[in-house]
Amino acid sequence: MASNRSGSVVVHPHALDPSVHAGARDLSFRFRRLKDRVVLTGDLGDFIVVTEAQFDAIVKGRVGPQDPLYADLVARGMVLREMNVENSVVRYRNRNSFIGRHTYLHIVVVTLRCNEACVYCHASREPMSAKGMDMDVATAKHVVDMIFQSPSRQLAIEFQGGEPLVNFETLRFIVEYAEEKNVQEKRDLQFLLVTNMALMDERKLAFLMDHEVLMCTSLDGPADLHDAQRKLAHASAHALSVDWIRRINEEYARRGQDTDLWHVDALLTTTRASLGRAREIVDEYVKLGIKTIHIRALNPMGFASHTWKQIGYTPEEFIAFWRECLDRIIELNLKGVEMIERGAALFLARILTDEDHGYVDLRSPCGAGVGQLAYDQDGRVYTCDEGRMVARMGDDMFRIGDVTRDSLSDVLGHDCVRAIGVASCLEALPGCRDCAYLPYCGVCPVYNYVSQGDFFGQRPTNEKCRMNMLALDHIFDILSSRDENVRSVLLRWTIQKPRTRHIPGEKA
Amino acid sequence: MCVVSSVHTCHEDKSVRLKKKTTSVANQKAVAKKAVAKKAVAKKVVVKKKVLARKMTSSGMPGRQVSSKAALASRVQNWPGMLSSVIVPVDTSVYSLDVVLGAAYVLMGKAYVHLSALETGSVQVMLTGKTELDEQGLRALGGDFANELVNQILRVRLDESGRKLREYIVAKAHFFQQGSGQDVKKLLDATLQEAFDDDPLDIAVPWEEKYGGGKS
Repeated sequence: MASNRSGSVVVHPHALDPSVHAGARDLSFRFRRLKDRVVLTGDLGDFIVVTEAQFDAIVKGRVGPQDPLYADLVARGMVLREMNVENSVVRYRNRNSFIGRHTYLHIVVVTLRCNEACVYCHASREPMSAKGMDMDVATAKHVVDMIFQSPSRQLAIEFQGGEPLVNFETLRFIVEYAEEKNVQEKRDLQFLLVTNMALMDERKLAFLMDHEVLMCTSLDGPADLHDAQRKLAHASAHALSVDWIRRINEEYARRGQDTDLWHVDALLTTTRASLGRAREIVDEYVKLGIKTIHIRALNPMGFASHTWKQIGYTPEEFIAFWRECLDRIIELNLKGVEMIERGAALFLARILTDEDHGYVDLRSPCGAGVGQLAYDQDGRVYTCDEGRMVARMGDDMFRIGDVTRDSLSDVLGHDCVRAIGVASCLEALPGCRDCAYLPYCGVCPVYNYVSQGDFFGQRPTNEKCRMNMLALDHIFDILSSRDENVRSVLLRWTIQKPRTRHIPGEKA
Repeated sequence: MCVVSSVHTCHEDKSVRLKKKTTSVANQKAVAKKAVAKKAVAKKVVVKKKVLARKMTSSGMPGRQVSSKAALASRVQNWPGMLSSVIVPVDTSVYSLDVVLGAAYVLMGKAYVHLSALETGSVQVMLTGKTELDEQGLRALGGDFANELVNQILRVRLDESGRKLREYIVAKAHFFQQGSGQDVKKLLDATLQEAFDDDPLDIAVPWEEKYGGGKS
């Protein structure tokens, strides 16, 4: 069979031969062609990369038990046999353990005000002078009460904004009240703060450290790039951010905490201005001792929806940039520098392990409602942070309740939560259900709604889908390469550290 | 199956188009010489046609139902977007409608896709490039569609081949904590019995028996 990606119009004579399918009754895999090879993936995320000739033999049923390839296919569940079905049940359960886990990530927007003006602000921040944009303590109490209605053993409360440090008193109340409730509840409770650091001071830092609030900031690259994208009146946003990253990491060390596990994480938001500066950006992170970089693409939400023509790019341009970054990070790893690209690591965890990485965007169904909830400053509840962003754009489609009058049960039973669940089950989506990358991927109905007009979207014209496909093509290209050292680097990235299952700011 | 011979591009011959344009201009001039009023009317008509043409080109396909080959052919000739279109006739005795729809879906990113039922029961697929394509590009587009049909057949077959076992795995993973080998054996037996009673392609013959000489 010729590749449908090459533009060739040649179809091999055997393509429609009935014998192609005879004997193929036990086969269970999806496939995708990469250059001259074919990636076969099973429901459990196992994969095998074969040549066109091998693929041809497999689908023709000409790979028998005596063939080493046959054993590989059985071991990976791509030929289903009595002996591997029971094992598959256990592994499938592990891979999808999030399904029965209940809502554990709770994003709390303690204020919509922000002291920085970012060209891409997805949250549509309000200026510092705006009134009525902060969460009051009474509302915050309702929020915490609703969070603890979730039966989830793990609860993560993530502070977002605006800039959360603008309303530090409410943040402090939420931490203290949640800890007080947890004396009885005994949950695995975790606090996360996404901050630009500009309003940090020693008093706030001491509180955050004392209560083990994990911190994450934005770092868009070297000073000129960062400051051009994240404008702060009368100061350099980059300088403040960098100073506090160093100070906080020093404080972790001073307190005797394992700095491999306890350190400031940083997020990169890629704009058109970032393209072509991959090496500089990665090196900036290395210079600051940051061990994880998440190279994130823009979403067409918030201010980015207005500035897209100036700061946006095509999926191909973004992935080219991501690949440059990845190449540099791998190069550094090979020289002994410890650094992970978070996006690749998330995919690799799904490809190479059966662990649930807890990332709500890459699962089926997505985590909106059932994995995460977002609470706006006025107590309105949204399916997810993206749903809240859409509300800030004037569309309340993803609003599912109010902490002052609804229970968690009311909120999770909302029609919108159900609709999103249906719209994000990859196994039932055209273009996803037979995609080789289904075991590793996820869709975002909110993104689909914003970019394509409905929850389901269309895969062939969906830019997020395109980015995921290109990224996974590259990862499989590396995994199937002969460079053992590079593969070893990627394998190391799948080791999950026990500090947290969720990196703060993933939904920023 | 020779794909190339079954793909029909819809390019008009350039010289014919130029001739038509020249004739059209000449006719308009003749009309203008005869009566100023008539010229004004003719201009309005031309403008309206151009606007309509632009609308149709920019929005893709108006999507009217076409029930016969002849109707489709005449429709295409009047279609401003036809310069970037290719028609692929699909024999539905070879490719099921699900396969055709699956292939059409995959190509939605590259082309506007319009399916028409023919009186013969087969399907005519018209692909209009989202960007202007030359004849080579159109042939490649048609070829991509033809190859995707084959991919889709394979995907459908693979989906069917392991479906019952996959459904069993998912159901058991979610609803039962412990499993027993007996359950699996029963399911395997039932699967083989039910799924391949009607087996004109000999699919039910175990792989090993057919090619490997004995069951594993």
